[in-house]
Amino acid sequence: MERSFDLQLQELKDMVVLLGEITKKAVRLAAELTTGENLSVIEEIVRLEKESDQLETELQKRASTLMALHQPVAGDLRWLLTSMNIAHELERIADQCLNIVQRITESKELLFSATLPIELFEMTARMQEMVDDVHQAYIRQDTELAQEIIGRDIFLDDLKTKITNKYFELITKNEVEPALAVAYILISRHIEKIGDLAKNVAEEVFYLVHGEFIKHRKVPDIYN
Amino acid sequence: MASVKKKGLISDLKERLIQHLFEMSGWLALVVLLGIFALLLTTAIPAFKEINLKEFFTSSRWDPTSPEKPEYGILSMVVSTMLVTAGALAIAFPLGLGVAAYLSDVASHKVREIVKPVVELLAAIPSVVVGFIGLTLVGPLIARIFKLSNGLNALNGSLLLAIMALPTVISISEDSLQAVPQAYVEASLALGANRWQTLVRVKIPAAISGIAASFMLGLGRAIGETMTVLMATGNARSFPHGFLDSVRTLSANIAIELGEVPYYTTHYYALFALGLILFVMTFVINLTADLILEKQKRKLQ
Amino acid sequence: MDSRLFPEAQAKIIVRNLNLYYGKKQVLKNLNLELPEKRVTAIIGPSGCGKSSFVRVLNRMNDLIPEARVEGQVLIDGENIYDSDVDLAALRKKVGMVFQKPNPFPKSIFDNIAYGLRVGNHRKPAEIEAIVERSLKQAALWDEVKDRLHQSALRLSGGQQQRLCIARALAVEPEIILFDEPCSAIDPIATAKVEELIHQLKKDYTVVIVTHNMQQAARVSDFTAFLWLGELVEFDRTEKIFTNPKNKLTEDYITGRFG
Repeated sequence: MERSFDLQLQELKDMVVLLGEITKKAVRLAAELTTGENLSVIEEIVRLEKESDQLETELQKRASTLMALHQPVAGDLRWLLTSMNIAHELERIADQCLNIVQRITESKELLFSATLPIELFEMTARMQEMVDDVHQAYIRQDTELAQEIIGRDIFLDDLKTKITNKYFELITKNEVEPALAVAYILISRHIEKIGDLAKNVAEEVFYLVHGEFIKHRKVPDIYN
Repeated sequence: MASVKKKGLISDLKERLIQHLFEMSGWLALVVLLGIFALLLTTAIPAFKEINLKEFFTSSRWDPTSPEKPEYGILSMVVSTMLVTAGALAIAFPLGLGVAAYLSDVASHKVREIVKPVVELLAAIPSVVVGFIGLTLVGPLIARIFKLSNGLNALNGSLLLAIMALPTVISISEDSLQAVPQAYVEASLALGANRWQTLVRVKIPAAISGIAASFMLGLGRAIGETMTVLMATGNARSFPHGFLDSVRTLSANIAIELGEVPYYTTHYYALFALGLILFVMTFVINLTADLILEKQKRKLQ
Repeated sequence: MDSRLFPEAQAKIIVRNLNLYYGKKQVLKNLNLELPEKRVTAIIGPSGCGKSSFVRVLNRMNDLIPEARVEGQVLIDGENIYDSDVDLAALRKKVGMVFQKPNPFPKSIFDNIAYGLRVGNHRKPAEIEAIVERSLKQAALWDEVKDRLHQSALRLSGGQQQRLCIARALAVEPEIILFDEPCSAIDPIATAKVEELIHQLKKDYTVVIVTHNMQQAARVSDFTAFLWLGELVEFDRTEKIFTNPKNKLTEDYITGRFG
């Protein structure tokens, strides 16, 4: 039976996909900015972040209306809840892209005169991959992919720790410009945060399909 | 778009015509009732030009054809009527209610489908046939049991009237027991009551107005019944002292004497006065019962 | 049956291989389930799925229907209520019932509550009075009716009448209370009161409620059974049924896709 609720829910799902596309693009541009030193993308990132804000607000509004009026249960309920949560996470990813933009504009002379550490190269690649994949996982409701993404988060964590430790050491040894080191550390933290948020989205996808919360579980448990 | 305005004069007229027709039939019943009452009243009043009211009600001597001193005391006939009627109801009501309860609560669907029409058919027996049975069957039986010279007495009349009232009592009581909402029965059973408790404590109280109506109709039937009592009660004019006395009821007396009375005499008018008394008796009984029921109903609303 | 469903509670009612027939029509098909003690279990399902018939099996109300026939076992506290030596009156005192439409007797409020006691073990008037008051208080009706206990129960509003029926059922001190769509004939505010009451009752009673209102099942029950065409499709914790049912039929039914 076709229900008017289904139509409205479909619109909501489409909005999440669109929001996913926007964040994907913002993340790609943020990566370009970080690795390619391409300042021309800044405007676009700012615009995308604004767009994601508006889209998320609109989506939350619609979702809460649907919640109040239809009191969905079971699959409907999970779709609605995850749409709201995922939208929130995606919007925060866009925020983090904006943070990266800020870090880079703050210290662009320093940054552009130095060579980007290899770890940050790896981090931007992994970040893009995670965000792209989690978008796919959502669209295809692919929980295997989602679980794999959750597993991948640990690499970003490690890389961030690596960068942090490395540059603290360099600062203490006076072998690096402190402002540059701080910029690297902060950027690595933003990227690591984006990874966290992508992982959250992956967890939402898992809940959407299986109705189980896997947040705060240890990684090996998830594979069991 | 469908208009909600009136369709036209004709349909409107028809509507009103039907409404008036129903209204008129209602009024007709009232007019007939008042007409009968007025006729009885106007024909009865002349009797009291010659009859002393006090004597009429308190004397038990009825001898209108006495050449020396005609007497017009109705007390023995009133008491006889009440005696026979009360006796009939004392038999018919418990028995009828019992059968009704059996039919509605105990009997299988099949039994009910057979028994109920048969019981209702009882009502179709002409009263003269019932009287005949009383004369030839019940009378001798009573005589034998109580060692009397004959069985034509109040008891005989009561028994026969009971038989005549039974179909009404059974049929209407059973209908009203059936009409008790199943929800009450379920509620009662669900509280751990058995079927008997449910019948006595829930169904009969809930059906009381119907049961009372059946009682009333039985009473009406018994009090006015003429032919049967005329044939079965012996028609003695004396004051009755028990069910084994021969009695003459008001209705029987009217039937016996009206055929031979010269028109427009005091005796003639006096018989109409008897009719009026009968009419008033039934009316008062019905009215009181109605009032009691109404009060009962209001208490429960 | 998976009794791990409620490790924290005892099974009060155990239904085994239950079949119910009305004449030739089979109304319930091989039901197997265990209902936990002092919990609220909701029975949901579309009209005609047998949910009302099912609760009427539990106090043998179906005995009223001449052509009804039951196969299988219904154990309450380990006793099969369909054994031939079962005392129906005792069973129905133990398993109280509240019906779809409020059905107070056309008697006074007091007499309604006292009815079950009077047809039972003939208690003393003072005892009856105490129990009437206690039951009305339990049903959260005492304050509304304490000054007119001897007025007709039919003068109460629909919602009050239903709470009176609950009080009436409580007066005989049952262990299990069956609710057969108790709110389908009363307004939303009265419904909320009855639901709150059901919530309170599970402290002391095992409650089984039939409802066509899924939100109601979600609100009041701890466990939910979904019946469809006389079969038990799914029985699980209510939060599980309403967030993540295992069966596609259940999902379609509770999300309103049935049709």
